[in-house]
Amino acid sequence: MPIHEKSLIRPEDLTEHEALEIDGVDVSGHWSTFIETRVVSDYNERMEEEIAALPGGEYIHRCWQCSACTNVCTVNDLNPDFNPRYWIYLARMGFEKELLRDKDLLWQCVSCHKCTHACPREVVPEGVMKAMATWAELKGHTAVSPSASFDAEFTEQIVATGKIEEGRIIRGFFKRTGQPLRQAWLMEMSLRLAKHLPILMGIKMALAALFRPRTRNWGKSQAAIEEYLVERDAANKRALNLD
Amino acid sequence: MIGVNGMRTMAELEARLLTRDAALTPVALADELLDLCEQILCHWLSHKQVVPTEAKVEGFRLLALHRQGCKGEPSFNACRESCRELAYYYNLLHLEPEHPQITSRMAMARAVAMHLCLFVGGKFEVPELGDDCCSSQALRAGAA
Amino acid sequence: MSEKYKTVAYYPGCALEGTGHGYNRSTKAVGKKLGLNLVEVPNWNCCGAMEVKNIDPEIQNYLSARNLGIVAEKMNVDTVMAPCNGCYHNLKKVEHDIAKKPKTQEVVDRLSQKAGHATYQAGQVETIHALDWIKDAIGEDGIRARIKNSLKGLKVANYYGCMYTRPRNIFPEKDQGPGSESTYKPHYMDDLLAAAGAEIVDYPLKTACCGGAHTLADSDTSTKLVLNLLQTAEVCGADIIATECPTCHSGLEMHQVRAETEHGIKTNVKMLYFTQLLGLALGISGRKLGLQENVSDARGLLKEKGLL
Repeated sequence: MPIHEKSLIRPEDLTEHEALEIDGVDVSGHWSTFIETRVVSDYNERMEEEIAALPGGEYIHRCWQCSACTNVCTVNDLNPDFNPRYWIYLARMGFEKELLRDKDLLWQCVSCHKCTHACPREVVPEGVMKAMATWAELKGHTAVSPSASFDAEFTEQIVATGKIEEGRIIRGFFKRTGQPLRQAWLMEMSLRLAKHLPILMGIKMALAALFRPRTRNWGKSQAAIEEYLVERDAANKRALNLD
Repeated sequence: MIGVNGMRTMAELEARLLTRDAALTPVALADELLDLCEQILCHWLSHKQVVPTEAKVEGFRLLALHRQGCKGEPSFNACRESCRELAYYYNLLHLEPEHPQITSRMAMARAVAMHLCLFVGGKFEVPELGDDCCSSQALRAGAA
Repeated sequence: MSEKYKTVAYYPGCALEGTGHGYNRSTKAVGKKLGLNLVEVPNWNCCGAMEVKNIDPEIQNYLSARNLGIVAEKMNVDTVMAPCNGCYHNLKKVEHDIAKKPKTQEVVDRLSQKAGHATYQAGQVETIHALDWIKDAIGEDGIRARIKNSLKGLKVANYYGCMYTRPRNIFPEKDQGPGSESTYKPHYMDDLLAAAGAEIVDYPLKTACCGGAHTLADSDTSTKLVLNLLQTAEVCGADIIATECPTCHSGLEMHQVRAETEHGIKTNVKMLYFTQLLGLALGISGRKLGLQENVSDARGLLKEKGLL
């Protein structure tokens, strides 16, 4: 498999002159294509620490840029701009502006763990991707992503009852993200299922939707988790200087 | 192509390059290739109705002719490296005619000259040849 | 038959009570047929799947530690079996983290104390997947000896997904030489279904990702990934994709429908849980295996092949 890398030369960094003669040679137009000199002075020197403080990001400092993660990445296959190695590099450099160009991609990691499996330094790039997405959200650079909405809906149900019920998750997620529940493909799927699903099973599912499945005596676990979450939330915000 | 001022035609120049005369010494080959290539660039300049210069740049008339050639037509810069490479081989063959790798150097010099001949010959037929500079790829992709 | 895994704690998880119900039924039916006892973990909780860790990984660890703690304290077994890759992965993960990361032990201790139950200690319980369970307790020879209805002529691609093998560090028993499971080319399902008579096709995407974590959050990505899995299986000549994870299974089913309704790309390969296939070979009825509960309805194909 080839190593996928991104070109460091972006069209907006290139410059051309209508008419230019260098050393007596006419190099007008695109024959005078140059990369503009850039001076970067606004590094976020705390960026690596910020990401390391968020859940999943703690091992970012171990990365030595071998690109095994990007090479095996499921999402990179679909979109070459999704580049974990490059983002880890930018975060460690503190090149915040550059990372923010890709801010709307950060959440798209599908947690297939190929990167963590391949990483020779146990960076856990999958965790770092999640930490970066959280970082962008907490700092207000991005809105809450669909993935984060899903995580929140899921976690809230577990914290509340100890279990989840899929129908409730789907409804809750669509409500959070403002999507209609009656999506053509979901309808089609229910229809196909209904065609051969015995009535008893249908009743069972309807009951599960009405009476939430729950773990008995969950109250104390719920309280313990909630307390810990409040603590973690405060710690995350503190790490990003948001309090 | 008709000869100008006693010059050989493009077809004759190409034919001469293709003979790969084995009798030539390294120095004689260097001299002949430089002469042939200067004539090739003169053809281009005559085609552009420019009088070929007798001046030299960095010791080579070939490089001065190239400068003239790309004036107003920067796409002619596509053969800049070929011209400079030929100058390099000219120097190599003159300075170290006894070098152990002389056979390969002579072959390279011939190949570079042939490359220049093909580019300029092609330029007569297809004016767009050399229009794309690879470093501007990103910009051209954006424009397309 | 060895006594290994004769009786194990059974952790079905939430998906097996919902969309993966057919997997639940067929796992129980196959266990019963093979004389293996499943004792459901009493009052279990959700493992947090792939979501809770993004809020906080230690909470996710606590969730699985609570389940393992119940097995250790309240059940007279030393092994817990989870058929769902997500559950299996998370139980393995806490086992690893609690042994290697002091912070995990600290958080799990603290939350367990607050919640008023015993804390799980590393090494108390062994976690296995449904594949390990049948492979180690019965084995290929055991399956061969019990076949009533060979799967001969059925071309099967085995799909293991992500969480069964990755990341390797939480599966210390894998990649241990001949006989052990491989994280790069897992083969337990291949072995069992081949023993049941199925023709196993060479399927290069065994451990590719179906986008299950973003099935709803990023449906377009999931559809692309699933379509690739389905089309590749068809190119490889498979009639059936055998699955061993409810999230993968329902992901494949959902996005097969989505590819058809949203993009007009129809694929005909069917999905069945490996326990449903094994069950058929062992002579269990399709109804008891929950074939009717799958969205991707393979019954027509199975009838055609004389298996129903």
